[in-house]
Amino acid sequence: MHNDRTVDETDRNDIVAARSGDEAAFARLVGRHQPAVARLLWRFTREPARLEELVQDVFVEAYFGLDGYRGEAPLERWLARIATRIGYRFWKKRGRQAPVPLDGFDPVAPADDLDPAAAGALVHALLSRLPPAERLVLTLMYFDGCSIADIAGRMGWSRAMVKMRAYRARRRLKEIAGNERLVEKTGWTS
Amino acid sequence: MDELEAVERLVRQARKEQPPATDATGAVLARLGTPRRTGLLPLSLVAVAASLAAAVVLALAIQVWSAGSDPQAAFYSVVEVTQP
Repeated sequence: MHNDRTVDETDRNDIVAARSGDEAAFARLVGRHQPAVARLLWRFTREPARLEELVQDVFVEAYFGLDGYRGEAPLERWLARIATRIGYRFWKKRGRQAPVPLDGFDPVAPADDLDPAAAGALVHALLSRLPPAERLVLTLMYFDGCSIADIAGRMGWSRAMVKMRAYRARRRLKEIAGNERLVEKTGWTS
Repeated sequence: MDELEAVERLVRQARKEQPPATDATGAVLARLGTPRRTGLLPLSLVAVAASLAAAVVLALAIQVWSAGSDPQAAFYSVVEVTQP
C-alpha cells in the first residue's frame, strides 16, 4: 500500500459515481483494491475461504461507509484501516484456539531460499500464540511496515499503548521461539 | 543469532509470499443487493397481512352495525302503545 497523500483520480471518479449508486463504479474499486486488501488479510487467516469472506466484509463495510470517506488520504489507506479492524475483530471473535503446532514445520530449510509460503505459515503459527492485541501490533509491523504511530492511528489506540504492546509481544515471541528451538531448527546460528 | 532475529529473517522471506487469488467482486455486489431485498420483503409481507386483517375486521364491523338494533327500541314501543 503506497504512502501517497493524494487520492488517485480514477478512484475519486469511481467513489463519486459509487456514492450516487453506480454499482459498476464500486465493482471497479473492488477489483482495483482487493489484491492489497487480500494481501493484508492473509496475515489474519490462512484459510482461503475465510480470506475471501473477510475481503468481502471489508468492501461491504467500505460501501456503507463511503460517505464518511473524506478523501484526505488515499483510498488504500482507508481500506487498510477497515481491513485491519475486521481482521482484529475476526481474531477476537474466534477466541483462544489451540495454537498451530510447529512440529509440522520441522525441519526448516536452513537458508534464505526458504519457501516464502512455508516461512509465512511458520510466522503465522508463531504469532498465533500471542494474545490478539499483541499479535496485531507485530503483524502490522512485520508485514505492513507500520510504525507505532501508524498502528495507533489505524486502531485508535494511544502510542504508549502500542509501544507497550510491541514490547510485550516481542518479549513473549522470543520466549515462544526459544521454547520451539527455532534457531536450532533453522540452523541460523549467525 | 537470537530467536527474534530468526523470526525477523523468516518474516523477510514470508513477505515475498503471494496470497491465493481472490475475486470477491461478484459476492460483494450480491451482498450489497441482498439487504435491500431481505429488508423490504418481510416489511411488505407484514403490511399485506395487516391490511387483510383490517379489511376482515372492517367487514365484520359493518355487518354487525347493520344487523344490530337499538336496545331501547322495545321500551319506546311499549310507551307508545299505552299512551292514548
